[in-house]
Amino acid sequence: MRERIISSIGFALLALCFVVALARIGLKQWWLPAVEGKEQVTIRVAHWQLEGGVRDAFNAMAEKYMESHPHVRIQQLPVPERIFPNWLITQLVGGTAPDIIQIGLGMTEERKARYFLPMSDLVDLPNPYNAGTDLDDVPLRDTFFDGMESSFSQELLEYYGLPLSGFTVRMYYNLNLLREITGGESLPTTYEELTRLCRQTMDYAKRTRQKISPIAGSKYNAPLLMDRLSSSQTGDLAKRLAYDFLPNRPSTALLASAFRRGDWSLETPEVEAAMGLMRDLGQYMQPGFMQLMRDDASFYFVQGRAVMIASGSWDSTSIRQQADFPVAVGPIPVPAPQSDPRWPYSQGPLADSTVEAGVVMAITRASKHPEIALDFLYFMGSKPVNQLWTDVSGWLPSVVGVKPAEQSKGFAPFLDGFIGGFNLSFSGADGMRVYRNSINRLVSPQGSVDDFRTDLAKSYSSAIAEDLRRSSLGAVQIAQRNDTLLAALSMLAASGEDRASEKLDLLLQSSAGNDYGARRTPAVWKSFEN
Amino acid sequence: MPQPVSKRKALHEWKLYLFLVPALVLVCTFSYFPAISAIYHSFFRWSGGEAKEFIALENFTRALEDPVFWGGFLTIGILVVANLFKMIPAICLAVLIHRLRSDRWQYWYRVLVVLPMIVPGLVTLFIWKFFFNPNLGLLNSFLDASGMMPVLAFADRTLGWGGIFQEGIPTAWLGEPALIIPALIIWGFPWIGAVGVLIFLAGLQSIGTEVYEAADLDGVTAFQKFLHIELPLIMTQVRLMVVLMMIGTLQGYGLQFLLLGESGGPGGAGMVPGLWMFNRAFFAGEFGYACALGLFLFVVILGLTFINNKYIRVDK
Amino acid sequence: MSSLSQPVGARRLSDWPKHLGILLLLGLELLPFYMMMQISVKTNSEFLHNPWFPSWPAGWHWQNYAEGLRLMLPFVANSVVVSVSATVGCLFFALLGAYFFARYKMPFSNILWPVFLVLMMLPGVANIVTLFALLKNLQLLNTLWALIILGIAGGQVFCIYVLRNFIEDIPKDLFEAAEMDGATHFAQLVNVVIPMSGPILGTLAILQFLGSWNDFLMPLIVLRDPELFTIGVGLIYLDGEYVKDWGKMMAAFFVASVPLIIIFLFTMKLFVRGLASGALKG
Repeated sequence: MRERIISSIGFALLALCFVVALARIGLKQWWLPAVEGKEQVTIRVAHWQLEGGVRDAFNAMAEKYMESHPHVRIQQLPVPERIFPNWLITQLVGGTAPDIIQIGLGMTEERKARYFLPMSDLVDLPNPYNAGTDLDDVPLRDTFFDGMESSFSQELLEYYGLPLSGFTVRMYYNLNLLREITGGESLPTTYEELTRLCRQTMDYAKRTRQKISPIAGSKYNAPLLMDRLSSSQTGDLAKRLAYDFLPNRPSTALLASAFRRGDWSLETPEVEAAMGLMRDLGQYMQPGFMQLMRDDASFYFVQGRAVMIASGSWDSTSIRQQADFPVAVGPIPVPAPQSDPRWPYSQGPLADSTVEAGVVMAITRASKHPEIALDFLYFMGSKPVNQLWTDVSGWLPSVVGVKPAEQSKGFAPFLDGFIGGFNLSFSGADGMRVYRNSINRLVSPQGSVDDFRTDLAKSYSSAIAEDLRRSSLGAVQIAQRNDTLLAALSMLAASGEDRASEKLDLLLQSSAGNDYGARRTPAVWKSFEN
Repeated sequence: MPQPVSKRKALHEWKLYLFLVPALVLVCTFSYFPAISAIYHSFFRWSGGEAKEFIALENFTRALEDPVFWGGFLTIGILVVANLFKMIPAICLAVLIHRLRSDRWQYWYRVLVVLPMIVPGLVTLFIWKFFFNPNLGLLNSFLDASGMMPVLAFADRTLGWGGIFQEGIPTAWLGEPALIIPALIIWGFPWIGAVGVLIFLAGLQSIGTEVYEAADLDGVTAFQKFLHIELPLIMTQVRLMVVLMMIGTLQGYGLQFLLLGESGGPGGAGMVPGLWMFNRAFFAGEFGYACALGLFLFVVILGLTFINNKYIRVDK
Repeated sequence: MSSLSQPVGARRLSDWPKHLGILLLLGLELLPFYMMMQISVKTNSEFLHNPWFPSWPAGWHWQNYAEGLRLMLPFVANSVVVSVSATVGCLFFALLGAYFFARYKMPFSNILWPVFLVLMMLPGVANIVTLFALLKNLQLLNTLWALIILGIAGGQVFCIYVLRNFIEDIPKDLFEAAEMDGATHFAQLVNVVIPMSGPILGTLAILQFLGSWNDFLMPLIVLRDPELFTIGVGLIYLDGEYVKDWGKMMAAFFVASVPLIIIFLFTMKLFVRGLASGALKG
């Protein structure tokens, strides 16, 4: 009997929970929208930047927009980095994609072409939300510090989305530890000073019997350092091999085909120098670092177990929030030319211009209100709102003339310097996978450059081939999409449809690559919507 | 047994068919249709939308040459064998409980066995993921505190494991390719599942006390009692659990996905066939190829189940 | 070791090793639960200094639970709706289906039965890909309905199998008596079958509920809006945070377990009896 009562109470409790939960869902899904009226439009914005400050910045921007646009509701959808590529595919393929998505992770050119709306004809027109500022009549493209290069797709010859932030990579220093080890607070400015600091740290750790590493590394932070070092040695090589329209960035496809042709290999002297340099600095990271995740390294650093950590400006708010010591930020030096015979290929200090603007937000074709999405995008990319962004998130701005927040002053990009080359994981997903599998042999104490090279060589060539195969397949599919449109337009033009021949001309022009960012009128742009 | 029924009566009872309709519709739409659709789509290059391109057997030939896929079978094979051994604690616990004299205690222990199920499997998995954390995780703390770390480090040096275990360096259980399979095996220690224990207990119920008394009179040891009395009588349950476990492990990839991510972790050491299929569809966008992979997996599992049913028979 | 002629005290004594063994195994199994509870009231630094033992009750950080509730409660609510609906729906349709097969041997039932039986052996591993496409075509993506319907459909096979065996064992005269009283088949189902099947329904319900509660793959690929997330997706998102305060995470984990605690507290005996009665003799 008692059992019966207890069971009944249990079921009653469960039934109560069920009813309450159901009511809550019903309220949100049906009742509230009905009450608020049919004009309510919801714009969803998705991104993966879960770092400190960013979600607050998006909320701040959304709130400001909603003040002046009461019939629009902006909803932020932060998705963890780890599942973002999965999430992206299910949303795009499933047709449930949010209106605005951050471009980058899991993105291929083919997906951009298929699922996102290009902005190419809008880049020469001013941003309406810049009216009244000193950017009043400036074309959209020029209001961003990188000229919207981060939004430009080389293969598609279109602009997708607007960048919201700038990123640079710096070395973060634990000032307390630095003071203890060197007696001062001056940050290393040359590569030799950097390695000297590392050696001093190792001595200090041994002397005081503390477990302190010079640099906190992880499979995420280490490449930031090592890629930069690698770039310093391969700059000239890249220029020779991957002749390109865009001087900033050697084309992946060209580099890959050059490798398959045998124009360069893992034994090329520049590449070997790069590997040696990576090993030279890699030995100063804490043991076993290649197995650690990004938050493990940050944890290590903020717990005071490492003097330095390399990371981007995106971590500055997070790290400062967690650390209970003062944090300083300095550039990552690379070897000067002729400074060391082991790596003689440096051209000089590397500029930050290879690092582009980020947090590129683009509009999806699945959006039910592309005009409103575009309006919000303009809003976010305007000078006053970008100022709001940088103030709340602590990240660098993307719009010209916006003052960075106090704490991100150290991240301001250096525009003088040489363009770097490439690193060994350049080719794509498979190349990255194979590189990561072998990198242990390069940086672990028992490893060596030869070890690494032999191990990598086993699967490197086929990985590059696989990446190349996949990206060229994507390029073919992109061209095929345009083929149908071309055929249709030529038929229409032949039959005398007046605007058809106009569209046809423009399409042929841009397809032939005569004009990147071909200028098209907004009307024509709208006609390419699905 | 369901009553046999004359044709006339059956016609009269036609409404009974309506009882079956919902279940039938649900099962056909959500189980059979996707399966057939998967077979159909495995002949296409399909990225999930309406567009697809017929490429006949290309997906299959590619799958046959896919090293990641077949490597995954090796991994999953190891996991199946490990899972076989992981059934032992449940059997032991069931036997221990069963052999208690007091019925009251038996009852209470039965209830206690169910207690761990309070924590949903998903949460347990995340807690274990936390255990594996190199800096904060309890596994490493335990190894340090119990003095096992130096032992492991020593074994590492002498057996040449390549520096996985070193004193003073936090072991990255989910970060070191060589440690991933051990991590997948260790997780869930001590591997007692309430459902399993209860099922075994149910099977053990049927053993009467006279059998034990006879065994005692013959002077049989506890372990021999287990081998000759209890084990044979629960073989049906054991076999059931083995089959369920095998099918579940072979097609499962949720565990690997949560612990290691969609690439099977560092070095792809935790990649299993199901995960590779998921990866190809929802990460690389190659839905057609994923269907082909799924088909291969399906055939393999079906084959193994068939072998299992045919050759592993239990005699009373 | 022991026989009937030994005094009672000695018999109980000889059980000590067994008790010890059982308690040891059970204790280890409960380790994650213990860890979850004791970490949930600490801060990160407290945990670093004292990972194994609970801190003093005076210093417990209850605000971790406030945060845990804030994080998990919406997901728990959604999971409750989905799991309860799926369980009730599944059992309802499964009862109907099992009744059909168990009551009479209707024509074609020997063709229809294998339809269900075969599915038990068929690994539906590739289904997730085409299921996604199917849901898309049915416009069910990003809804909780999709999860509920899938939960119902997925459980049909096993539940019908078990329930059919069970209903077949019910004495025929009970049905005939009801039929003579003029009861429709549905009434027979309600009045004859259901009262007798308490434990088995309870067991199946719990298994179904747990299956739905722990599901994360389907919700992950189906749901987009955070307000619809179930526990599985919510936990994955929490796991993706860069900065993890483990006290708050553990509190959130606990919140995710609360409904199960409620269910188990009240239905534990039902479940135990159900499994023990050998209902799942396979």
